[in-house]
Amino acid sequence: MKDSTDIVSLAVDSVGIFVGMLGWGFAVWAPLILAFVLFCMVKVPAMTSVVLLIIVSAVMVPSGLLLRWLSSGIIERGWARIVLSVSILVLLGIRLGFAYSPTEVRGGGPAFDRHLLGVALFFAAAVVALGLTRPAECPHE
Amino acid sequence: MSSGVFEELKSVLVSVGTLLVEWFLAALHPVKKCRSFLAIKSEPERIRRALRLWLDSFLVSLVVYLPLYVYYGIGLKSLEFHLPIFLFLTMGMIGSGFCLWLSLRIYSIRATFPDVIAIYVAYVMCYQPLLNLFSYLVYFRFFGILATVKAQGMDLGQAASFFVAQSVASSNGPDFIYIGSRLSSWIFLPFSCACSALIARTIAERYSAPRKRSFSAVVFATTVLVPIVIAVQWVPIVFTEYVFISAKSSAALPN
Repeated sequence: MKDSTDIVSLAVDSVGIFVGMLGWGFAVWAPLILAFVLFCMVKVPAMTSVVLLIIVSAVMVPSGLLLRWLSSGIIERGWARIVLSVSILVLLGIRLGFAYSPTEVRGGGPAFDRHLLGVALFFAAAVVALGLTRPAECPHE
Repeated sequence: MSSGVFEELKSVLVSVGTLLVEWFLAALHPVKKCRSFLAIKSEPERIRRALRLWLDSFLVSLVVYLPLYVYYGIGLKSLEFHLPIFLFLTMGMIGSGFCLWLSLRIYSIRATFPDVIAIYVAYVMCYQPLLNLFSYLVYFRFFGILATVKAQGMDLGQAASFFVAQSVASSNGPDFIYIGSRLSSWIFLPFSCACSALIARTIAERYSAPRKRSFSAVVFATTVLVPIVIAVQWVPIVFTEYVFISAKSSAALPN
């Protein structure tokens, strides 16, 4: 269990787990939660709701699969996927954390939560970048 | 008489101190603790040792939450409250361990159930007191809402609407409790990811499994399967808290 004591390697693996969790969240929970919210709003499935659900799922599920693929790349320390992960996490951090939000202007989610999410994503990107300096140490591969 | 009180206090403090030291050493060296569990040949003994650590962890959690419980009318000697809570949390732990074991099986890693429970306790359940500490403010608000629900005699639908309304109100006008609870949950996130990473590493090494497969199994378990168990586990826990909470404390609800 030599690599278990390497804090940087553990931090990179932790971000790999975080990205994988985001991936499953996008691919499974986001469509399910949206379906539940739409059902609660309209009770009877209307055509508009079904179309909206299909469109959002069509974006969310591939995004989730992409994040899961990136998560595997972080775990295996593949440099191309690490670079891609850093880029995507930074972009997500800017978009979700600090970019203009129309819902916030209309009294939606508070800015504080969004900024925290943005900071978390930037931090994750910085840790993933450290993965380029630490090879995956596993004798079984 | 006062020396008797001091003797009692001393014996309680010694017990709590011993408990705290045992828990602290386990929490400080999780990899070492996990190795010591996995080195035990007998499977029942491995589970017994893991559950012993979980019991220590639960008792420390109880000490952490004691002021909150007392504030809402639940004393240390309310065994009718603490025993069911311990039982539900233990069942939740076994359920989560089962989800992890199932996920490993799905990803073709032939882990044994006692190993999974031991690993799960060493890396996750051991940190229950820290989780409680981080979610102190969340629980403070939650107990306040629950006490109000009880005081006003709301039914399930009204209670759900009230919970949503309170959450929206607190997010629209963020106060110390809201900001503190958000900060602590974001601080706890990297910690929980690190625990999951340690589980995946240990499993990859113990079962000579590829890292990618082990990590994928752990991520699948923690993101898709375990939340279902936790959601189910929360129903009896919240009901028990509702039954025992003092409705008189509802005035403490912020907002």
